[in-house]
Amino acid sequence: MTESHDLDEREWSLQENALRAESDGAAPDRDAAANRYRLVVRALREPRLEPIPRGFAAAVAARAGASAAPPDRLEAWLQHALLGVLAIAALGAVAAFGGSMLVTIAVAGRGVGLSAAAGACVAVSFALDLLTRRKARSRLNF
Amino acid sequence: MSPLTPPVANDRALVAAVLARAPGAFESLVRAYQRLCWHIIDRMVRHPEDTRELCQETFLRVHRHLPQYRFESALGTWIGQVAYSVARRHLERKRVPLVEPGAGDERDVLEHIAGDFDLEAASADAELVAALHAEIEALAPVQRMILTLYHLDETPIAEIAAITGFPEGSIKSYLFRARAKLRARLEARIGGST
Repeated sequence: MTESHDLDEREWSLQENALRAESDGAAPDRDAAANRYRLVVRALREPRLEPIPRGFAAAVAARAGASAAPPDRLEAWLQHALLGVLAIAALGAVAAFGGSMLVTIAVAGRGVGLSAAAGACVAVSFALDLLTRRKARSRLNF
Repeated sequence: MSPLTPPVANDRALVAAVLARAPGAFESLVRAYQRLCWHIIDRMVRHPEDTRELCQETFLRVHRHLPQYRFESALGTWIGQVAYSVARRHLERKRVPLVEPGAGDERDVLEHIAGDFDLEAASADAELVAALHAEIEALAPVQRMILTLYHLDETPIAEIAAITGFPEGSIKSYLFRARAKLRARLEARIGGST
């Protein structure tokens, strides 16, 4: 990366003086180089820019508002219905296979201590929390 | 010239209003900073449709991430950083070089500047300024954007550095090189037409 110590200080002063002279509307300089830079500055102060479309701010705000709006009633109702179906399915599964599941868990529990199982639960929770925080940080990193 | 960014004191109230979902607050924020965003993106992208899309994307990102904004930099600088990042990624996807290749040595630019000639005797200023606009358009996206922020918006070098992530020395160097190059091109043009 280029650093400013490479700059020709005299030339830099000419450029900056031209900027000030043009801002102040000063009379043309006797130095030809200064006047050349004033012309450059004049062009730079009047760049060819596309105009901002009329109503741009309102349109963007409307779009941001729509994307941040809470889900509508139909969406909320569908979410609740889906949760209900899942809950019924879970209850059905427990009713059908609950007995055999308990036996399996009991057999597995003999091999692995309860403390080890609790430790695994804590480790998984910690890992999930860490992952969520990292994701949040990376989202902030544009 | 109107200021590029509104007074910083208003930023907190504006952000608080947006976060409280006050009617019209986000529109006010967009209105306050659309000029900055537009200048950064337009000067880098130089395509009207893309500029509009990318400006919109910038403000949608700002809206989404505003709850995480901690006032560690001025709101204008933060929005400028988002705009610059959005434009930079767009150009990178299109494989457009962001800066002029070989932008390192100022002396090679100065070598092309003529010693002296009578500018007064040359073509009319308006024609020369028009020719300079064509030369400005031919500059690399980042140089073009830095020149506009510095000259048109009067953004200090430190703030441009904060927006782009370049060191202040590099911003100064880009300004210097671009202006010296434009002067050299101006003189070449006048020399060729006389």
